[in-house]
Amino acid sequence: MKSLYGDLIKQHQKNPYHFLKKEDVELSLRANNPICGDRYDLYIENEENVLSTLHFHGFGCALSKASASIMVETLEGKSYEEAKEICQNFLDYIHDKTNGEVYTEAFKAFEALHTQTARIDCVALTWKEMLSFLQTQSS
Amino acid sequence: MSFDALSVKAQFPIFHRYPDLVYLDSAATSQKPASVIKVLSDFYSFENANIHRGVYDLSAKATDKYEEVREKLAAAFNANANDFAYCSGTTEGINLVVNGYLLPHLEKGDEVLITAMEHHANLIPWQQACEKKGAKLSIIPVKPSGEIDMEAFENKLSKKTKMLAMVHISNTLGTINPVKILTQKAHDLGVPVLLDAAQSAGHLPLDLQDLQVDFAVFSAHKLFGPTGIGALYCSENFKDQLKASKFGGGSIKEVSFEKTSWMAFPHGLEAGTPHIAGVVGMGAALDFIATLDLEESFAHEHALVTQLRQELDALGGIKIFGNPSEYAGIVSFEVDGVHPHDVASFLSEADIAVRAGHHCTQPLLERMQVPATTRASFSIYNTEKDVERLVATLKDLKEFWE
Ligand SMILES: Cc1ncc(COP(=O)(O)O)c(C=O)c1O
Repeated sequence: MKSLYGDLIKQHQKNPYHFLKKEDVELSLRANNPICGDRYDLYIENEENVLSTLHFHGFGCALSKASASIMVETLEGKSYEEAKEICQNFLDYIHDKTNGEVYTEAFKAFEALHTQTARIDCVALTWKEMLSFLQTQSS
Repeated sequence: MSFDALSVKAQFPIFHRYPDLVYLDSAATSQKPASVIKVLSDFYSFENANIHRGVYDLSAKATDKYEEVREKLAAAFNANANDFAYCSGTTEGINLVVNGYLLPHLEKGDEVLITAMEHHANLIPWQQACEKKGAKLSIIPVKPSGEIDMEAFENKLSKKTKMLAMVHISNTLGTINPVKILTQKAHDLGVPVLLDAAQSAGHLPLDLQDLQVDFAVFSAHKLFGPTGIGALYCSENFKDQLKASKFGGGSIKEVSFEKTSWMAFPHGLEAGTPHIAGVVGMGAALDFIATLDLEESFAHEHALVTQLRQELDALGGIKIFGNPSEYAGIVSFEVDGVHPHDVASFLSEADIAVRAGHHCTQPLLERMQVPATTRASFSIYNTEKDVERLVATLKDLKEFWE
């Protein structure tokens, strides 16, 4: 069985990217899972439909945290349109619906979810929140 | 004679299919022995018919089989056959008592008393009833040891109390509550008592006459039987006061468009075509339990969980929730700095099944100030090797997350 806890996930869980409470940022999203109590805030600084700077903060399991960290790192600097496609690719990938095609190699850290589906919700949590925000921003 | 867990384990097909599986989630649902699975399959294959209706042979036989299981319940839990109504499980059983007994008796200003360690199934129905009637849901606190605060219980119990509902064995902490003492004190004030026996039935000798509770509920799926079936025990004194709250065919004496009269307990509560195969399967589970010596099997589970509690303590960096003096084969813990879901996933990768979450006891966990715990729970098919595998894997996990 392929492990859910590869090096990249461990790395992001230990040293998450832009893990900071940015209360001065006006636009923030709350991603929470009432079933397990995981909760993250995503802080979005934007310029002309570009996610110029992203931060996140909160608590939850290693998988949800590493996944949020990878998301923030991947989406920073992307336009809303690009970000939407990337989120969709990630969510499709973890559900094994892309024939292995990934926007970035980092997504493959979650390959084990293809056979171990129990933790998909943890990993999808912040991505789904981001995607539904981006969808409301569509022209 | 000591308990032979390996020969018991051999009777459970799932462990033949997954020989390396360490199943430590029996508090959620037990595995099923071959005998129970065979009875279910035989019933559907060779004995299937609806009950109480047909005059033909198959229907009469199905009816007999269905009714016979009440005798088995009576023998297993020391009561009378007609003290047991079938229901879908613990949750439905409690709802039947709330809707059929409590609501008609509850008035504004009355109180219902429960403990802080109740499963949501033994909390929400009472809470909703109290809300509806302007009554108060009163909570007996649980001490850090995981035991009921008896002094607080005595203070909260009063003539205003219309029901005391409590869990026999906490599905989160493993605590065995002193049911007999609480029941006596409640009865001294004329307060009826409901026992949630979901975690005790089939795990220890459960003597309903001795405990003197008025209502008791449990689910067959936690005692080696099928899902979707269980029983509600009602003592003689309360049978007339426990009204039907689910209406339909099969439960009535006489029906006209103007009015209906119901059959007496238990049949009056069993409207509609019941889970006949489930009842028959529950009977097979009770037959299986009858082959065990429950004192011995309980001692076996107790020894395993005691070994685990000691070894977790010795590992360091692990917090165990509660250390009650009387406990069953259930323990909840937290590994420092590792989320319970990660603990459970890591263990799953080593073929060890435990539960992570709030175990449907969210208010209890809130009081213990944790959002979730990891829980290991034992049954008769667990062995010392299971404990060793769990402890060794937790050691690996701690190294991994260093
Ligand atoms: C103590 C306790 N009460 C009630 C229940 C609910 O049982 P069921 O879901 O079978 O109705 C459970 C099951 O987890 C339990 O452990």
